[in-house]
Amino acid sequence: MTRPGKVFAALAAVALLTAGCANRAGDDAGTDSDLKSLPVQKSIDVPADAVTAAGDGEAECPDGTTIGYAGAMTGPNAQLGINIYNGVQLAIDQHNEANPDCQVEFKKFDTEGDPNKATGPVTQVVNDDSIIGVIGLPFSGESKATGKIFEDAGLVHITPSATNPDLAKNGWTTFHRGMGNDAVQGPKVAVLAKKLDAKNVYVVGDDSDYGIGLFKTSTEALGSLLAGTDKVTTGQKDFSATISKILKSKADAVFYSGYYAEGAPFDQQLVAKGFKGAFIGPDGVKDDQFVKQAGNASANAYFTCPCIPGELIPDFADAYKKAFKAEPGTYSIEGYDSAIVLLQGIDKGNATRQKLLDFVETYSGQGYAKSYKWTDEGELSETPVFGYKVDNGKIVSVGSLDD
Amino acid sequence: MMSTPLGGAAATQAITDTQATESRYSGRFGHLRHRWEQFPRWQQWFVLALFAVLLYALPILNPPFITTEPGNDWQLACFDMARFALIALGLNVVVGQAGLLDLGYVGFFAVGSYVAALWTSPDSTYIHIPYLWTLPLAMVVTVFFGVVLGIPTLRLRGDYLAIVTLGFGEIIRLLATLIPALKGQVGFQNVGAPPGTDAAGREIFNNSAGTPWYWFTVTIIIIVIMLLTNLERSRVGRAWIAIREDEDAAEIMGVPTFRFKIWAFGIGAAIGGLSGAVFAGQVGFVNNQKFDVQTSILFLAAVVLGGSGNKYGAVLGGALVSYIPLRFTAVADYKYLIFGAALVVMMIFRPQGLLGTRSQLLANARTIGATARRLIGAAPAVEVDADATAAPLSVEEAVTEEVADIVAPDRTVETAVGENLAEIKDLSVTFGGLTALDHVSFDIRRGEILGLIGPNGAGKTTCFNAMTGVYAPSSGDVTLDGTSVIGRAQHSITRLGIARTFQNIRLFGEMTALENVVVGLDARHRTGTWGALFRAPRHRREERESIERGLALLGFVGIADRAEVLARNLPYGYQRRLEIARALATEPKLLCLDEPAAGFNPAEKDELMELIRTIRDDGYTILLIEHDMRLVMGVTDRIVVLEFGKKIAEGAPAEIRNDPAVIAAYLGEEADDGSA
Amino acid sequence: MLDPQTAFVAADEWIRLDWAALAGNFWSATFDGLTFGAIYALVALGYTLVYGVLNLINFAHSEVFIVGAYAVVFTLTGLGFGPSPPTFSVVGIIGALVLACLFAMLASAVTAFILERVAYRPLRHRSAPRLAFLITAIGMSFVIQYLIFIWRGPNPEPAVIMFQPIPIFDVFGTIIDSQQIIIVVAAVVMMVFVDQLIRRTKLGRGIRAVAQDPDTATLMGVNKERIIVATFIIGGVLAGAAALFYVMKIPSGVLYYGGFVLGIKAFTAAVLGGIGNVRGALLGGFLLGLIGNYGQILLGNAQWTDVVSFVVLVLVLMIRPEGILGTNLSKVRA
Repeated sequence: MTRPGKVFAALAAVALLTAGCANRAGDDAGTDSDLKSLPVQKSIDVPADAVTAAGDGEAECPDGTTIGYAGAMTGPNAQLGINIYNGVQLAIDQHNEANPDCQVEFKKFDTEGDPNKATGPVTQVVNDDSIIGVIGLPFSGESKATGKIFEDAGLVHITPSATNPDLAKNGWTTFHRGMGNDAVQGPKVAVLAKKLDAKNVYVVGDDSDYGIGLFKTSTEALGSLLAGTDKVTTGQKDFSATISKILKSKADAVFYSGYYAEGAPFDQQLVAKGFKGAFIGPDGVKDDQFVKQAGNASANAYFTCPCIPGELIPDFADAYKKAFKAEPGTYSIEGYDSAIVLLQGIDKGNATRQKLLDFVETYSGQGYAKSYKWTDEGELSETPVFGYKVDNGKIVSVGSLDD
Repeated sequence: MMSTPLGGAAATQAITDTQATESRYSGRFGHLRHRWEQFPRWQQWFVLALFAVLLYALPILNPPFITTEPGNDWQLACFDMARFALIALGLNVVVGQAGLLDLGYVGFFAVGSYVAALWTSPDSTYIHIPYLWTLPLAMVVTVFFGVVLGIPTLRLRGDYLAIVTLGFGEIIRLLATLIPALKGQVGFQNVGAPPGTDAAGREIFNNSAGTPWYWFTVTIIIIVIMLLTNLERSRVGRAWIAIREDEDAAEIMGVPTFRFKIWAFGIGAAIGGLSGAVFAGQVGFVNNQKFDVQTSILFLAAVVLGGSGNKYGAVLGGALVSYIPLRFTAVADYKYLIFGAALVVMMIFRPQGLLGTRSQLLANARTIGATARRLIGAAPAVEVDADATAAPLSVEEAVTEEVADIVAPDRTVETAVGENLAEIKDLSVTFGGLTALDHVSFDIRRGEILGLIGPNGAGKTTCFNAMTGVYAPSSGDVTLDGTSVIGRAQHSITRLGIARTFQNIRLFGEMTALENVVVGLDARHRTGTWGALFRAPRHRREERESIERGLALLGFVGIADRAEVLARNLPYGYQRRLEIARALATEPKLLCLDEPAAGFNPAEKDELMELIRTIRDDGYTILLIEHDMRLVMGVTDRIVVLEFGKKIAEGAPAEIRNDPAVIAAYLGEEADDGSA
Repeated sequence: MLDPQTAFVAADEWIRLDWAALAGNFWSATFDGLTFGAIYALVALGYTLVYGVLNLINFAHSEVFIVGAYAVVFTLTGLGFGPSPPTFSVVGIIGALVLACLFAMLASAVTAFILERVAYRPLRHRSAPRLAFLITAIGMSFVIQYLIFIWRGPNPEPAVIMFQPIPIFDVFGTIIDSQQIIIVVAAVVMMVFVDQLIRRTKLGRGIRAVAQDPDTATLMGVNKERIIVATFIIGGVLAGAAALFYVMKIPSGVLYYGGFVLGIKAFTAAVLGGIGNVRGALLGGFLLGLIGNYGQILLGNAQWTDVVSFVVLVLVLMIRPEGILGTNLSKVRA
């Protein structure tokens, strides 16, 4: 069966050779970039007053006191869940090592990140009386589907990564968010664009809950910088229609409001078609998979993320690497910090659900990279957003976008 | 050139199957089931009640080892199993019973979920109604969708239908994304639930309370099963199975196949919508995720795994498909792999599924024995003996006076014998450029046996097919009692009074002999789907009469002793006679027999001749295609001869025998070549 | 019962026909549509050949295709290709692509062969009903998909860029690039090749004979089992070629369900043109590629592609239940 192959080879040869001689009309597509390059942030100083997992080492608590994790552990969304529960595990291990009289247990429940499956495991969580505080759920959809179960059980939970703003508006007293929501992140896209000296930013959004929210807040914040907008869909693989619009608009930066699964091919195709500007993505795009899939094209990529670059916090990064033989991932530090808040409460003798909930409600303390104090709705009062970029095939921080 | 339009595989299949020994109590649970049917009613009820108590107690019992905890809450797991069971029950009507492969069933589930969300969730700006009202509303809306999808697509056959339903499922999912009012991935929160609060003031039906939701769903399942049982044991259920077994034959036996397919689709849709609404209420959150093809195929796996066509099998399959990943959370990642492999393995090694027992299709099956004893003096066997070679009873033995009365209750000849019953006028049928039937005209007179003969490819079966609506003639007309049959649907031609048998036997293999005949009887029944669903008095009367008339017809053709044997397991001779009985059951004015003696030995042929005469004497008119000259000459009153699509002779047997044109046509052609 | 202000259409015009966009992008949509159409058509041929011979929708053919796509990605990655355009010489690139194509054809053909042996042959020997074949095919499709899922995880393989497409023609102000030309021309050539193979060779006669009447063909000395295997392998080879073009066109589309998505399209194309009909697959593929692209631009959202494709399929089947070109006379009457 080699004949089709031969046919093809002959054809390919002809086409490629012709191509070599043809005029190179496509070269002037896109604008040459004169964007600034942002310097890489090398390390983050841990505030002196940061609360550690170890505490004072003299905490006492009842046996069997348990912190739960509910979220994806298997399925397509597993990696984010692993990042988070490893952070939680690290905090609890450090705590237990330092506090012989307060051994906190850790129980994990798998939701696969699926709203339709989450009620079963979450009901298990609330029915387990030993669990007095929960880290989770990581995704907005499953959080929506289960927030009421936590509320009915009076069980405090801190989500380290669900960014949908509406989650806090359900009147759930048990709901707490460990980072800024999408409404916080959107405006920072404009800040990042200005830092880059971009003049024309094209915004492309997907059809997800997340993408739609960010699309709205980012376009509003960009104001006169906005060069145009377009919509794509989850699962889309070919972006040529959108890319030709972008190239026509002479944009020097593109913000993609969605996830890396579409963001990576999008950036790759964008660069392949001659786009010379910057590609900006939100936390949903900031993932090693993005770099892996987009390859060299990803060199033009910047990200906004309400997450702290945990890898730049030496204490944390080293411990994490030692424990899990892997670099901390996105939201690992948020999982870690959130767990510390709960552990603090336990150490201070709040060993029931009600007490721990009250404790978190009134908590105010410095975490590894930001301070934690919640509003009545369960949002943090201080929500830093960081900028990131791809540098030599790795995602590195370019510092906070707050100033 | 093959003269038959319909495949030849069925006949071969039927012959090889005659050695099989399975009965309608087939499968692993066949004997259990037989025993069960012998129990008195009160014992059955007692066992059922005990089972129901266990079923309702399931979430509370939380049996160790079986439980899904600690990974998943057992009560909610029970609910989830019940939800899947309900879905599988609905899909089973479409796939298992009517044989319509629906790969987009999740679409109905999605519609039901959205109905509950749109009319109860605070995120929706629609008028809000109490949750319980959304259940019937969801059913109505999904039925609407089902019928709208069904009307253009249900004329398509098998594979085409599968791909189109898959497309519709996808369209519904995509529309949930594309229509802004359906809120895409954002979705609807706090979908309603049945009312009620417990002592502590908490809602009874909150989304972490599995037990109330489980009881609610199980109750729905029980009601649905009872209603589906009513349908199954009625004209509707039999029509579905007939369609599944052989759609063309069903249509020709007077089953309005399109209408019943729409019904199956609609009923499946209603149950899908209902389960969607129940699910939306329990989860409390609906968005556009998880209504994909994969989920649809998981539903299909549930039906196939449990036993396609068996409602208890579907319930079991649904519960298993839900249970396995919940119980063995380690396998959750392998879920689709496991169920994919299960589909393959089941199809290869146990295609009938885990619970493969066949469903009873007659409402009064208990009376079969007694009725049979009264009519033919013995209860029919339910199994074929492995070495059963017994020929059917001879006609004199079989036809008692009572049987004859029942078979032809009001067959007083209305018009004088010899007048024209049917007229074939100038009939032509062409395929592409080929003319299979070329301006043929002849009459069929009331009360006669008219032979239609001719060499292979002469157009005999084509003529049958044109008369029964299988082919649309390119010109000419066929009238029965002065009414034209051209352009009518096949089933309405049957009701007009033309019935036929097939050259290659086309029985409904998975039905018993009696049930096959009752499908024919159903052509004259007037019970509608609603009447069957709620067991209207007319339905009960018709069902009672069906058994008596069905057995009498079987007795009339001499095969009542095997009334309860699956058609595909009947000996060849029985199958041929059963086809005649089934055709007679439609109360035809004209009975068309297409080579009824094919494959018979001379003794059997004599029996058949006798039977054909008896049928005629009973007041029927018969059109007979036959190759065997001895039989044709011996039994017919008149003969029409076709050659190359043209009529070359017509007359009494003696005239035909000496007609030079006929002799020329048959020259070199062996009269009885037994070909098909 | 609807609140008039929020009834579907009033709340937001969710169907908006943007004729200006279609007019503005008509030619680029056409060329792109033809490119996709060529890929659909190659895969559609696999469906159509198996359907013609066995009357079976080989639902798992989409997985035969994606296995080929994985072979392409692995071969090229092994040769040093990656998410950025390669820096090899033209000859080197051509050599690598030919090698990748051969590996893909081999991988797909072997998958198709195994599929036939493991799943379909046992059913044939049991004379299982039609529905059983289809359900088995669906089951096999799932098995292969999720084996890949377990092996490669949920993420697509990193993109493999074969070459930087170079503009060649300028038609009505729209540039046709080398990639589009290669895909369309190569696909059409291969399909002509298959068409001739079926019409003129001994193998082709065997395939046609089995398609028309398996029993008679067997009586006439045709080895039915061999013909069936050959058909599966030809379908696999074509799917392997399609996989190369698919990766060329959508470098980051190689993931476990990537075949399923494309397979449904290709199958729709086969049915649209008239399943069992080689030329119908070609027509259906191109038609579907064009319709999808036009629909997407006209309605302004890529998800309309599938909706439009399926609606067209239903409309065509309502008017012509056997597809546009239908099946041939002898088959209709068999």
